[in-house]
Amino acid sequence: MNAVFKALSDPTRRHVLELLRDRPMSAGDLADHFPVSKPTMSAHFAVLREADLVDVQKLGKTVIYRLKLSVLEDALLGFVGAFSAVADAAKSAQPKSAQPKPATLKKGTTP
Amino acid sequence: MTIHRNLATALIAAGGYIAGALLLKLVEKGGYISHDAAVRALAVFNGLALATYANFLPKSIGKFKDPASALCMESVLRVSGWAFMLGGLAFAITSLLPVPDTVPLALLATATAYVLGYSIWAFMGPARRKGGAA
Repeated sequence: MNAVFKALSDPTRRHVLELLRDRPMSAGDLADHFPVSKPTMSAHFAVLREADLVDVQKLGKTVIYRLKLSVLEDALLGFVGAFSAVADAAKSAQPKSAQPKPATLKKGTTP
Repeated sequence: MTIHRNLATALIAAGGYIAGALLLKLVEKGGYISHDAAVRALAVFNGLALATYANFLPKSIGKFKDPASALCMESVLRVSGWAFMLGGLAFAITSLLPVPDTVPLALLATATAYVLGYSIWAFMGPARRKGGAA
């Protein structure tokens, strides 16, 4: 269950699951929806596979990903999605002065 | 290995089911609960068992050869899982309430009819002809 929570905690992985809700997709098609590198996407796919939230099948040379959510996991995905949308809306409604400032680096330090 | 694990899980569940029913019968014979209460408790047990099974139903997807049939199967399993889980929970809750015996059965029958209707629509309907279910 911990693996499921870990998988659903990331917005990119949640977006992957939302995309797979419409239809099974290849790894390449999924990766095209995100502005991140392929190794990063592979890591996301690995987390989703480990949590048993997606099913992987090879068709010829293409790797097809399919949704594999139980009813409770499906409900949890919907709940987390709705909750994060509300949280984002509340955050954007806050005045800029009340929002936490991003951490700034001092001169001479490296990230 | 998976088959053995599934078989073991099914046998344990069946054993628990029979043990629970026997325990209820013993408690009823001992005069601790009425016959009606024993029947209602078993109905709650049935409803929860159905809801638990239905929860894992969408995960039982097999291998596929073409994406259209995979999409159909996936959507049918998802709808079945939701319908039977809600139906099972409704069956369990209404079995506890002082309502006629036909009410829990009618709720379960509604869930079954919905699943059957959706399955026929998904595999034979317009969505299938276009290459996938909704």
